[in-house]
Amino acid sequence: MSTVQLEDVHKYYGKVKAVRGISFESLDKDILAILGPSGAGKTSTLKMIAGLEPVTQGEIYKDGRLINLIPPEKRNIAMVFESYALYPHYTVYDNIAFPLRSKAALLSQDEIDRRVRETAEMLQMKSLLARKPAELSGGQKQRVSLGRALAKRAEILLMDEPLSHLDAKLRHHMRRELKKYQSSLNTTIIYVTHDYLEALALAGRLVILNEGVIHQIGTPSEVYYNPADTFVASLIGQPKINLITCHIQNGSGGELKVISKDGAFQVPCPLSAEELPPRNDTVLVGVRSQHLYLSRNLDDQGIVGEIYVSEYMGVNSIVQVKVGHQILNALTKEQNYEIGQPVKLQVSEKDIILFDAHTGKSLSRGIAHRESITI
Amino acid sequence: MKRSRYLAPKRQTLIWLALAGYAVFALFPLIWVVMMSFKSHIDIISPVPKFIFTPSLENYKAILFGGQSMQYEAGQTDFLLYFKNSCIITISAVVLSLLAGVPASYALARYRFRFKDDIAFTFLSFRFAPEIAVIIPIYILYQKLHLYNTYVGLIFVYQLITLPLIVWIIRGYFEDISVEIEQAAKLDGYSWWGVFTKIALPLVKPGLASTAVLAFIFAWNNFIFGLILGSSDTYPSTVGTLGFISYESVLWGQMAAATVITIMPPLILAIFIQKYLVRGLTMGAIRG
Repeated sequence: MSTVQLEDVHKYYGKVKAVRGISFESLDKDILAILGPSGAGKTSTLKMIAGLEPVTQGEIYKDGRLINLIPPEKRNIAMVFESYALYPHYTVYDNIAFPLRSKAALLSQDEIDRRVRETAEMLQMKSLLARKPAELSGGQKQRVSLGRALAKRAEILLMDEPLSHLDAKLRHHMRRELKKYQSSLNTTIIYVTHDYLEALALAGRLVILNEGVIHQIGTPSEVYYNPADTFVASLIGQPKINLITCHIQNGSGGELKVISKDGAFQVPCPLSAEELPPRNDTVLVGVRSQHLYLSRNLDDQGIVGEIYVSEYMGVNSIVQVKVGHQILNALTKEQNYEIGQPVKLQVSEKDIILFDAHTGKSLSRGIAHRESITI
Repeated sequence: MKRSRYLAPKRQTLIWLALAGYAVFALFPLIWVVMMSFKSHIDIISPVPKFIFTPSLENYKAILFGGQSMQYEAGQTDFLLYFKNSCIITISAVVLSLLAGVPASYALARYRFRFKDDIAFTFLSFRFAPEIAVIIPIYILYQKLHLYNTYVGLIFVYQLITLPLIVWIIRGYFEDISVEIEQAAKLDGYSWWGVFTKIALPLVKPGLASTAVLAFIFAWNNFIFGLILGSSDTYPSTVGTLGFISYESVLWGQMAAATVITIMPPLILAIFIQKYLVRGLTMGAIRG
């Protein structure tokens, strides 16, 4: 059992407020991903948990024990650094053995040797043990740094963008490997990344951080289907979610409708009048690109649009459609759209997320019918 | 090297000629001294410079095994003592500078504290003023503190030469080590001392070796401190060579032999550090 808990943690570097009061808890033996753009305070958060940076304000607990003042070498936390941080003067073997040889570890020579070889075997790098870091490729360095952290068998494993410097192929490979190790290791992992795909694929839960503030904590499907605000909605998903400024109107039958300023985009309002805050005349309508269905048949129901540009991506095409003054992204399996071609756009009511235009907060959160959505 | 391939042959020849000319200009005094050390007194004082002569080891014998004082009473010199003084003072000064300077440079590289930049600048400022500008106050101080004509006193004053050099150069080497490497070592269960001795120090070792040698050369070549603050017991060999000049005559041959021997330690060290000057050791630890 090992968990980390942060209570209203702040980190200031002089006048720069890197982290401004964040609270979250990692679950035992789970991967918690901290996702955010650069400068969000992700690494600062991780280094505070590790004890490498002092906490300006707030408390950090490990297994319910306050660890604010415990030095890093006594926290029993391992970390994989973005830069790998291998010891250049040691061989791979000695790099992995280094944490095991510390006074804190108290291991016999045989036990150290056994663990190093075991780790090397697991990470398939037995042939690399005699090499020095300078003789390794990026992927191999990454493995060694992971191995060094794993060999220690710490209760908590922190990872700071461990895959960000690998090329795309290797990154995907290592992502799967990581997931595999995690299930066999039973370690609590806190994983920092700016790549939403990595976070969604690996994590059991995500903490979404921006400018030192948490925007949302939730499971991958929660943050994907139920983003707390426009920031979370825009951060996750490629192409970016379509956000259209609209206002709410009564339709001819008395039903509520959301209509863009130029009137070109209109969809039924997914929320009832009671669910909408009072005086809320302007809203942002969020629709993910794969939820915009394109139809060439102009007799179909739907929003009138015109192809702006189409990019063929293999399985899918990213099609930009001009609707009035807006340009919307749609993801479709069909190809061969021509620029200027008129199309009809269809959106299902359940795929619409409404946001407050002023605060950016989701208006749809906690609405029952959204939770029935299956992935 | 790559660029020279693209130079026109004619231009290249000119550059080579210019460099060769400079090399002769720079090396000639040295070669002359070496030649002189093997010449007899007659050959040295010959009005026409002699390039061809019968070499002899008389001068070396005289300064190493005594006998130089038999000819001229006033030109007495004890070269071996001065050479020993040089070794004691210079090596001790460098060792002391390393002991004090390496932790200082680590602190300057890694920690934030009040007046940090002022302290660093103070170290550097020791190198600004010519030594001769401060020598008189130091002389008076040394007389009062009974440090005049002592090894300890000279080792202390040599810190003005060696310490700034070591602090400033080693600081750069420490700054080159990624902070994350040290942080990784901390998380691996090592205390400050463990990180410093097992990670930081081994990583600056090449820099440490070359800087120590550089400091040694600077200290070894110093003249003014030994001359003013030392006396015949503590003169380093740079000052000691002056002893070959007397009222009656100058023992050019022995002086040249003493000079050649004095040049040897820094020369050997300079050749030795060349292999340590390779800074490749830290490459590859960080991504890229």
